[in-house]
Amino acid sequence: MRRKESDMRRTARIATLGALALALACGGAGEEPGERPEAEAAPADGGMLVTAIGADPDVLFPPTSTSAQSSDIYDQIFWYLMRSDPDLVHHQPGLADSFRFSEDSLAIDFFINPGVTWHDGHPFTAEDVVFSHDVCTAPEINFSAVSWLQHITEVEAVDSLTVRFHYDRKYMPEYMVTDANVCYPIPEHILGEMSYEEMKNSDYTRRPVGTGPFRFVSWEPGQRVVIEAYPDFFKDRAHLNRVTYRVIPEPTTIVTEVMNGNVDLWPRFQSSFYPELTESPGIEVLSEPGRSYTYITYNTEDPIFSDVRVRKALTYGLDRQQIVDALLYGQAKIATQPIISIIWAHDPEIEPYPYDPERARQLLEEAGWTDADGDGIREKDGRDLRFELKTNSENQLRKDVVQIAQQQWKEIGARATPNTAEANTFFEDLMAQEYQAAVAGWVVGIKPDLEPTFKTGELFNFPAAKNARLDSIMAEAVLEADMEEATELWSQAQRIVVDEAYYTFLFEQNDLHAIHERFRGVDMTPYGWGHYLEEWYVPEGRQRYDVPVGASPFAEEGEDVAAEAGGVSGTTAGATTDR
Amino acid sequence: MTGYLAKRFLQAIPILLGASTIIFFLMHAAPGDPTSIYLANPNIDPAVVEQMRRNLGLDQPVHVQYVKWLGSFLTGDFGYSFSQHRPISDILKDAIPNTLLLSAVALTLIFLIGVVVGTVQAVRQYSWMDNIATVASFFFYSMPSFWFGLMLILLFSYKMQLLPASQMTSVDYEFLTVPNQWIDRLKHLLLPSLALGVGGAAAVARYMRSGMLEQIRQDYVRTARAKGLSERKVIFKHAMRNALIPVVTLLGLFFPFLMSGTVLIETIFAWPGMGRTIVNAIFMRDYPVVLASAFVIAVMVIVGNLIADVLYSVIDPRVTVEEEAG
Repeated sequence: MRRKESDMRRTARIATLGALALALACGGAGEEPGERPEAEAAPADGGMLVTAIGADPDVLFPPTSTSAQSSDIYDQIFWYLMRSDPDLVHHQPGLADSFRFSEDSLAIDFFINPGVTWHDGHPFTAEDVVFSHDVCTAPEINFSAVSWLQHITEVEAVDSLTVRFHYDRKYMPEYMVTDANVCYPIPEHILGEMSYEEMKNSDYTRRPVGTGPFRFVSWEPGQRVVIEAYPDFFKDRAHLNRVTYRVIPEPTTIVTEVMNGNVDLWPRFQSSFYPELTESPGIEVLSEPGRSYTYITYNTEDPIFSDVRVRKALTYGLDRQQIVDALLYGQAKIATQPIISIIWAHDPEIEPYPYDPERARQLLEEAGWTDADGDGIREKDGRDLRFELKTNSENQLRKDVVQIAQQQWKEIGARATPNTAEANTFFEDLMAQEYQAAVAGWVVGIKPDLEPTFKTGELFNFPAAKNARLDSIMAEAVLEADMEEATELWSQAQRIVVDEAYYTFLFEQNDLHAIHERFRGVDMTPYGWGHYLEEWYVPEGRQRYDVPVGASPFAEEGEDVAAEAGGVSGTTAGATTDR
Repeated sequence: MTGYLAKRFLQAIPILLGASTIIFFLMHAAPGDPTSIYLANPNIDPAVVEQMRRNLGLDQPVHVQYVKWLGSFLTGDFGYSFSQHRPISDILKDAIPNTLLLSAVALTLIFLIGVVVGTVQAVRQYSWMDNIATVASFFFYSMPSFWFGLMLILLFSYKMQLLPASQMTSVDYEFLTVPNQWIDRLKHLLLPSLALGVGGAAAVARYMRSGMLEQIRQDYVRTARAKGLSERKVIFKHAMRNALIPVVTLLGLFFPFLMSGTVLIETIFAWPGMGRTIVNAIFMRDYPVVLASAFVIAVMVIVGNLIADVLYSVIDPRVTVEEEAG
């Protein structure tokens, strides 16, 4: 096999000086970091992207997989009928070109593109969608997002290219479409004969045949997963010939491999590597709004925190901008509310509590906490303003936040004692309200829903909020079909949460990705870094690996399954060939 | 010999059973279970997590789970991994050869480096070479292997860009020519096996040095010299062979040491072996995988010890295993 640049690279490494030359060659002389030159020419096909994942995927079978590493990969192998728009609420054509609501708005027809084929050449039909819905709702399969399917009563194949979803009630139309697109279509011609038990344990779960722009090539457990462009994709084929996901658990090792050029993309890296990676030649750091926020939660059942003035005082007394600057190198924005800024229902008019230690002291005085004995700690009824600030021990960032909060709250006469626990124990304590204050974080779903975290009696209602007005507004907002009305309702709900200061909202952290600068067309979305991976490319002449797209791994040797569409020949090939 | 081996294997059974049982109950005593990571996620319905627990049999009392596990375990069925959704025998089949390869190379390095350095030190006692090697071996012996691993990565991968920092092969391995594939594999092996073995090599050097010094003072060495043998022959043929005896017994001791080392080294160097399998399984609370890997590691350690004992008798003609066993 001929190799272009990789040979050069190998030779260059033999001599230490060569390494320097390599670094310069990658540097793209004089280029401003973060600024991408306009695409030189038309996107070129070929080349490979090497990325790092922190752990092996569990399975590459969407209905039973629960790991983030897996979805990074199978999102390329499978496609939905409609693809999520980066705004997280609207949709773009996927396997279906369009959809249409029924007169009564209780059903949606999706019109499948006739060119769609499975990676083994079989045509994709509406029957596959019906089958997939049955699999996703089967209790034996225990699909983790099954609650999203609760309003879908039936999925029906109107004809081979039209599939109809029936709903038990009307809600926001955008979300009715979303809910029809949480269960990836899987091939009935391969899995249809199996029992659910067989399906869960079949080879297919580790060697999937999908409909997406990339097809599965190989998986060496603990080492790497390889996918390649599917040449017969019904739209333009993916530009990259290959994508390799290398399993590297240790972040220090990943950063070395990134700087060495052995890893091209490190998605969602820890902010502590930010300065190092931004200064590395040939590497671009992309900072994109993410889907998580960090907060301090107060247990309102605790005698200290049952008083809203104390909760507010601690919020005023914390310089969140300093935390963002010191710990996140500015790659975050101060959080103001539970619905983060990339979600449509976010209310931009809610201002963060300013950093105002004077106001904090005043509020504490009002609440009866005074420092009569002059020891720097306020007291009330003979009790010091001392409490435990918990977090989970695995998260360095949160532990650092605890340190800073402890320091700053000293200034207003409050003493926080840091306490850490392993994540499992930590969350159990929060759910059982066995804590006083804690630093934690949420990764938010794409739908605004505050009920699990703030409704009276809910498991994840860590502050033990009991606010009847809030409960009723949230109940209404969840059911509201009109987006504008819903926005207004969510805004009201959030204002209550903010006024009650159940949380001190700290920051919405950006997702940081390090990528080699030879890649073009890189467009990351809050939906996932690889949402538009099929559009990424490396300009001709910059391609580092000369890896061809192989013959179909799912067709039997010398046999063109595509030509025998509908035949049985290719059915089991995908599941039985060795890996 | 056969009787001895059979006896040793029989002795191993209660040890293995006891170790597995302790680990079983320790794992279940740790907070959380395989489903905990989903429990702290409001996007996943608690009902789904409950169903998951039922599907995995986690809703049953611990002693029932233990009897079930033991039953299938004794019939050679390691069961299914909770987190990887595949038979544990498949997982072990992937991981064991990788760990054995890494450990074997590390063990070779330990003995090669250790014996050579120790011998040189003994022959040139109190020379500058001896002094430097003494300081160095104490340094390497007392250094944590994961730190040394990171330093190796920093130096050879990051600064000099000579060797890869992770995994067993390069991403374009399948497109290399066969000789280049071998070179690629060797390059990937070098750093992790060095990191894994260097502490052991330092220890072997210390033993070898003192063993050699003791032998060199023996009468038979003086006799050998007196009959006019070359110094080379005296050292390598006579003294070294005897000095090696205590070092060989170390082999058995190094095996558990290597096994615990792989836990860190495999994680740092992204080496897909047993050490990483067990670490991941512990984090995921994947009980069956933890138990099966711990069992396999225990077996490896016991077999390692056995090999050392057998080797001992081969090298030292005064010892026969029957005697020792009796």
